[in-house]
Amino acid sequence: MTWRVIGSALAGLLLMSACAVVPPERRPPPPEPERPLPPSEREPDPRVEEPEPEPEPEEPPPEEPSRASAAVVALQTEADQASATGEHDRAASLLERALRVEPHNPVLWHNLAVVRYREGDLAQAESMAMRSNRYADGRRSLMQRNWELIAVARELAGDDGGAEEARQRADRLGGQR
Amino acid sequence: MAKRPSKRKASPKRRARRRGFPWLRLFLVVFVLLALAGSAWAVWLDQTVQSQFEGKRWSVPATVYARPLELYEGRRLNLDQLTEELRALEYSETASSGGSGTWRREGGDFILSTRAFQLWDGAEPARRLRLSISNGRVSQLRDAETGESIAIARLDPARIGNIYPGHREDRLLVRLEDVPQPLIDALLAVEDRDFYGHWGISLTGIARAAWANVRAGRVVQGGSTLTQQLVKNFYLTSDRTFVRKINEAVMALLLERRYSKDDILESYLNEVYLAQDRDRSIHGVGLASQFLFGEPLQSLDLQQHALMVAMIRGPSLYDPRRNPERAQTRRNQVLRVMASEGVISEAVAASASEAPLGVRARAAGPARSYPGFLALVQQDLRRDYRQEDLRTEGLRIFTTMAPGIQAATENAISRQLEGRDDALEAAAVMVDPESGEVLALVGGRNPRYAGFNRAVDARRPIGSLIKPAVYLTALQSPDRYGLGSLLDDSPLVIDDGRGQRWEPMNFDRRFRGSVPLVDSLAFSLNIPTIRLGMDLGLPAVQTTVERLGGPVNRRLYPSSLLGTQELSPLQVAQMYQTIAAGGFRNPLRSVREVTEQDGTPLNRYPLSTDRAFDPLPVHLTTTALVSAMREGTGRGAYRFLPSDFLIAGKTGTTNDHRDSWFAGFGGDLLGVVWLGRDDNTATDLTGASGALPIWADAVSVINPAPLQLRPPEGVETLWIETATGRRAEEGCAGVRPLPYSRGHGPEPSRDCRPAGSDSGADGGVADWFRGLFQ
Repeated sequence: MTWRVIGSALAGLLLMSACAVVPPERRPPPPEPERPLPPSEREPDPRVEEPEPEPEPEEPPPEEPSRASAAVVALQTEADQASATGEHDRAASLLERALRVEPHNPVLWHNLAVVRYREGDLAQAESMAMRSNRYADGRRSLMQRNWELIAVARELAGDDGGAEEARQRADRLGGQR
Repeated sequence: MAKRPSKRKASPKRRARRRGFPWLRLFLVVFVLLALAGSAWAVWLDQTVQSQFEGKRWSVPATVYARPLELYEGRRLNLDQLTEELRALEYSETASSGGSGTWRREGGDFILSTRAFQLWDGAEPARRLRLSISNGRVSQLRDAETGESIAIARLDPARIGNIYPGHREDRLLVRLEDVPQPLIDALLAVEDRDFYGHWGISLTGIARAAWANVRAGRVVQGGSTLTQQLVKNFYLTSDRTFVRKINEAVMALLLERRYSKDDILESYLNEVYLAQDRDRSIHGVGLASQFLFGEPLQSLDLQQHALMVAMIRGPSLYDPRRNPERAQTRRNQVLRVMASEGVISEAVAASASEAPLGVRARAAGPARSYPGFLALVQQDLRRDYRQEDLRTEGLRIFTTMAPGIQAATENAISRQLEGRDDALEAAAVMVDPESGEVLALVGGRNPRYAGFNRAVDARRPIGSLIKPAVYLTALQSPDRYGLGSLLDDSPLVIDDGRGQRWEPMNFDRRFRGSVPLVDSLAFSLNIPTIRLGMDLGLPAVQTTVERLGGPVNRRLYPSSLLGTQELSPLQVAQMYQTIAAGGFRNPLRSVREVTEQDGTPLNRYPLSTDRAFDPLPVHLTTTALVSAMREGTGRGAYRFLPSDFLIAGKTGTTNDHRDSWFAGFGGDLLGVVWLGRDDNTATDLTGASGALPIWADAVSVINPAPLQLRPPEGVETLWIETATGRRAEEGCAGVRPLPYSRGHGPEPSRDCRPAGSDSGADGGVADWFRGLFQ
């Protein structure tokens, strides 16, 4: 465990020293945006095998009828294309539209966090990843990616302690069993 | 020049010197002076002509738009809201399939023919949508032509106002190459057939017009060229003096000398006054096309072009909405002139003359103006734009306003205050709590009155609306406070150390001895709140207020805990937004994007969010605010709403009933309502009897998503003995379920011990989906 912590700290330091001087587009790539899935396809993360500390909710709490997802998928697809061609503002605008359709969709919040990160807005990237976690409802892989993004954002912002803490949370979610 | 006369002129001069030197000398002096004055005058006119033509030719006011209505299957939208949106868009109802900007019902479906529109992120095409609505939602959205399902569509955004300079001229600038040829043909045939031949004034034109007028026995043609008309509109007053006529002619010649025909024609097409829209004058063919037909110039028919040209001679006389017959007669006259000039055939003119006017219907009645919301927009834009630019640059401002929600809020105020004396004022703000977008804003009881904007500029004590900040402060220390913790509700005297004694009372002037924390907030008890706040420390509570987004306050007294601090409804909305979004503060915004008139993006105001609080204590506070609506001071809302509709909220009343407040939220709508008098005298209203019914009335019409109490990580539901605040079991007497921070449950009950309680404070019921209020 100790070695692992030291390793993470070293990696973080290296990452930070490497990135402190490079422009935003050359920063380490954070996780790619996730594909949103209609609620019916949202299976529990296959890697989650051990019993959860909390029981899974018996009935999923969909706040919007599942059909609304067609709108979100359409907007997300357009946002992906915009993001791929470097049109971050347009991608963000499309994701914001999607969030007005499904304000509690954690994938959309995560993807908006990634877009903000790519734009170089580290504070918003962190806040939005946090908000994604708030709505993640135990989706461990998504939460792990959010914490990884938070760790990188904190590192680049010079918050080593915060970055390490975020990394540890990401690791815990990453299923070191 | 005078000093070096030419040889040919020299000899007469010498003769003149011999005969009448002084007279000739005087004549010459006068002549030279006149020539100089004339030149100066011409130079001045020339500069006048240039100064207007070279720079920006028009001050174009900014146009302010509502947010475009997004349609998709599953969207919450009832008939009332759809109707209000279509009214704001000035879509007209048609019996059969109509052009852009119309709608009709077909069975249970709506067929909407949308207008093409350039939005910040691209063009939205005109299309025909088939929309079904059932149970307050869009149940189906299809392309009306192909029947294909559509994932998401946006309507064009409704124009909700302009930001005007001194005059109230509005125009939509067009380039000459974008103006259809038939329109130019019609214009030149009727107004200036020698346009491409003359030098600014046309003697033959004047003669021809005179002859035509004599033949017709009335004025059917004017003798002024387009250039002269443009000069008249651009530079001159409308008085009919001889000097002005001369000026007009000279300036027309100068304009022609300096600029090309196409340049002058383009200016004319953008300058010409064509119609009046209430207090806004419609200039130029671009905006007139939108205003009269609801369509861009390029999609107009011949008879529509002819009608616009017909209206130039008398925008009010030939107003096709007010005087349709006169307008039609004049239009057909234009068509005949076009035929006689040979730009169209007689047959085409005849068939176009048969066509109806094709003007889109408009809602009658006074203008729908939104002075309160527009004032907020201007305030929000002040950081990035000068007032001058907003008035003159023709910017397009895309705001967050939702016309349906605005209408429902205005209507709720007028309905609930009917019969009340006129001095009772009102203000309201509606916000999307997840995005921080301001959806509606009403600055006074008369929402059309552009005076004091109480929603933004009135600062009033917020009374009990402050209380959630006190409880949120407490609930951030889960080892000290939980929702079941008992608070002291016994008589209280506070000595401020300067000889002032304060003896606060509960609203009902009763003391309960001790009361659970959740009930103290739900029933808005003053004494336990003050005790709690003083235990926490006034600065700690103020820190919470500021983290929620409230203003700074350095003068803290125990009475601050009862809301002596003065806030605007908008500031209150910001604080409650943070609670409604689970502890994430989104700065409230009224503007999404600003573009230039041609759609070029300028600024985007993106969604931003800050994690101001840990979600857990916010969840617990929200639970207590739900309890306030279910059982506490806000329960009157359920006279308007279905009993299973989950909402959270808080009433507020200040001393002598001077202010009546309510702030509350469902899943996607947060509203703050204030009632009171501008002179700050007493009303007979509490928060529950005044502001609350307005909020609930509006919410019942809008039908937003209900609140979802999604427990964050680390919440467990415990059964708490109400009388002791201790942990018990579901089957015990006098218990109720309350959410707690995991591992921070209270001591086990002495009478009815929870199972496994011996093993420590942990454990308990982990079933966090077992409903609190089922």
